[in-house]
Amino acid sequence: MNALVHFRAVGKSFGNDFAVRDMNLEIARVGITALIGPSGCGKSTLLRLIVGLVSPDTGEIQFDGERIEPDTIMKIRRRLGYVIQDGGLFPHLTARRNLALQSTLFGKNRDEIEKRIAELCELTKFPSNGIDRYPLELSGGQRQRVSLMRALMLSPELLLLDEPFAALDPLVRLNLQRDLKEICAQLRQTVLVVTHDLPEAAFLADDIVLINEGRIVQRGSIADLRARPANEFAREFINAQRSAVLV
Amino acid sequence: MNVIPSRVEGCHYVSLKVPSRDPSTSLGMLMAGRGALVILILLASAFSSAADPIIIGSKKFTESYVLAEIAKRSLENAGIKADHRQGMGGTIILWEALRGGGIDVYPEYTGTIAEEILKQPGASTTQIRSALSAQGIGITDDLGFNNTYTLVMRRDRADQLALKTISDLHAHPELKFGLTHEFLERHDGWRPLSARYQLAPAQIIGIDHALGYSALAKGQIDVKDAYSTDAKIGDYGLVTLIDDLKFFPQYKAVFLYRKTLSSQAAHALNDLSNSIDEARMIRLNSEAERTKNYAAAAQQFFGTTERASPFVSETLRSKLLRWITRHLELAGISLLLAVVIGLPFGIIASRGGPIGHTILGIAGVIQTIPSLALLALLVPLPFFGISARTAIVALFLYGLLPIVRNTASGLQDIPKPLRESAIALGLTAGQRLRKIFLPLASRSILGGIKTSAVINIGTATLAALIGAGGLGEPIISGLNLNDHVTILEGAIPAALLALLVQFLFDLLDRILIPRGLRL
Repeated sequence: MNALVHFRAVGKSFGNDFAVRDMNLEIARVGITALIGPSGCGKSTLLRLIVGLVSPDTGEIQFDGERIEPDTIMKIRRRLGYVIQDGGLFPHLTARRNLALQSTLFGKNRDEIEKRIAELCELTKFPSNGIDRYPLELSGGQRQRVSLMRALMLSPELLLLDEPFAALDPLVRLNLQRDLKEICAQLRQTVLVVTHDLPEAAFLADDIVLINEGRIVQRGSIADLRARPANEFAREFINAQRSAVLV
Repeated sequence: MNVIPSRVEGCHYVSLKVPSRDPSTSLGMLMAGRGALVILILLASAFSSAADPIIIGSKKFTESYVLAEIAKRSLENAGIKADHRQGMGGTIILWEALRGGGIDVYPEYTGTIAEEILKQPGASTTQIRSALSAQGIGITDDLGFNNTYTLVMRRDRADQLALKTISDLHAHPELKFGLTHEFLERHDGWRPLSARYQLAPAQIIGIDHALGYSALAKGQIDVKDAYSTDAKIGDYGLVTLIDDLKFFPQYKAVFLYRKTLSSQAAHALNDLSNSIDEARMIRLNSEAERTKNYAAAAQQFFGTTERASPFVSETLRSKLLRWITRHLELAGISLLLAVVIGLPFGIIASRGGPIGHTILGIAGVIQTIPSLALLALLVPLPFFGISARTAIVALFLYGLLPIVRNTASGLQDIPKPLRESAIALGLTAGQRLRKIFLPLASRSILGGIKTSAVINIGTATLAALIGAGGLGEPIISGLNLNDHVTILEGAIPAALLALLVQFLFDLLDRILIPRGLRL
């Protein structure tokens, strides 16, 4: 089995709402995969299932051949990086301490941690004078860079990005998208990114998974999706995004 | 507030023994965490005393104070170490303290012993003596005066009408009576008295005791109720009408003491029998109220020639220092306990569910119990009694709710994305709590601790009610003496302390709340 993440017949509902239905999905250990779809289609829930923030009602999820369950999740989490829309930086810690927190608690030594922080600052083009600032003293774009660095601190096997740039203004978003793509290529990082923005998905990922109402509608490259939409929903979703760009 | 005791209701103010002789018994209560040991040591060092002097309790009114001071002097003159602690509580509390060994001696009145303690109204001296003896308590012969209810009038008015006895009032229904509310209600008060003497005055008003005296002096009323050794009788030059039908029960002053006292000590107390008559007691009470110094009044009893050195009155400065130190001990230790125990409970409560709701519910219910009632509930419990320990536990219980509630709500208010980020980073529950959640909730938690601290400073004044001292001592004493200056001696420092605590906590906020949260 070559897949890094494997969803097998996973179902998850919140109350009466199905977030994920009978989901079968494999994420290979290569490049960037984008999960795309309208709000509430269940794409974020897929990431949350991997991180163990929610657990499936039915089916199972494997990470690197190991079933994700309460006994294994703590170890698996250390092999993941997770970035959310608002960054999730801890406001009481400076950027540096946000980065160092996890490594320190996991027993890494100080020099090693500082070295890694310096590396990541360079990689993410984070201004060095910002590293000792508190999150509230940073701009939205800088916060997301710190958040990305924090996720990369332990060189995760899988980077999970949940709408990482949705709250940023267009110019900042564009820069970050470019930098992210460059960073991931440089690190040969496996990434699963959730977005509702088709141009973003198209720019970042070769592999796009279109999801609606908890089910996979179509999977393929942006060219596939444009040329051969699997159904009416796929066509509408793609056209809507295209016209938004035109307007 | 009455200057004199009310004998039946819970207005009896008592003094008690503060040091706990065996601090190790505090253990059971405090086994609630690692901080408990620290607190235990604090408690022990704060309240244990090196030697074991004889502890004299007193009810919290002038005469009882003076008598306790006299007993103390008498014991000291016999070479026996003695301590008089000021405080208050009901007769039953003092009695229980005596039986339990919390105190060794206290002044009491025969009528109270018969009616309240032994529940044998009209018991003879012999009956009283043997009933007490059966419980290990000794009683001295009476000290020589009877402090019972009486009716008083202005001397000129009484002379003018040639009134000498209560019976003489029968012929003068035009006289205006101003009686305390308590006397109007008591079962040995106005109603049976008026029936016995067939009095039917045209006008009776209910009036506060202290105000009654000035009304009497101004001629607004003619007759009022009083205690027969009340200092005001001398101060205002009033006449006591003779209880010719022997209506009022005898309230002869005696000392009750534990039979475990050395015979030497018992002798020293018994030597005081028949040494104080009403007139003398009135003078001593008057001296005590004039000087606000019970020890000085007691000194007068032993004669002024005696050297005064060990008994020089305490300066205001040293009194303030003593009150404030004790006050801070009470408020501080109880706050520390409330933090050590409130914080974990707050954390548990923050998780919600039936347990969380129960914790918040219980903390809330405790808060609604009036502080006096809480003290009254704790005092009869075996472990507590009348001690600083009880005051600390009561204050601790009051301090709990703000800390528990603010800890719980502070933790619950942490935004979900931050909560989940901490989980996703792979931190253990303990790491999340220590490194992320508690710091994020620090403002709210500190706010709760601050509220508790300020409440404790205020509520600690009530500790004096059970003789635990602190700034409540002058406040209650001042209320008792109707002396505003004394009240302010306690009230002003208490208010300043509250402000200071508020200020210190504001400083602490800057240190303990992470800078990133204050931007």
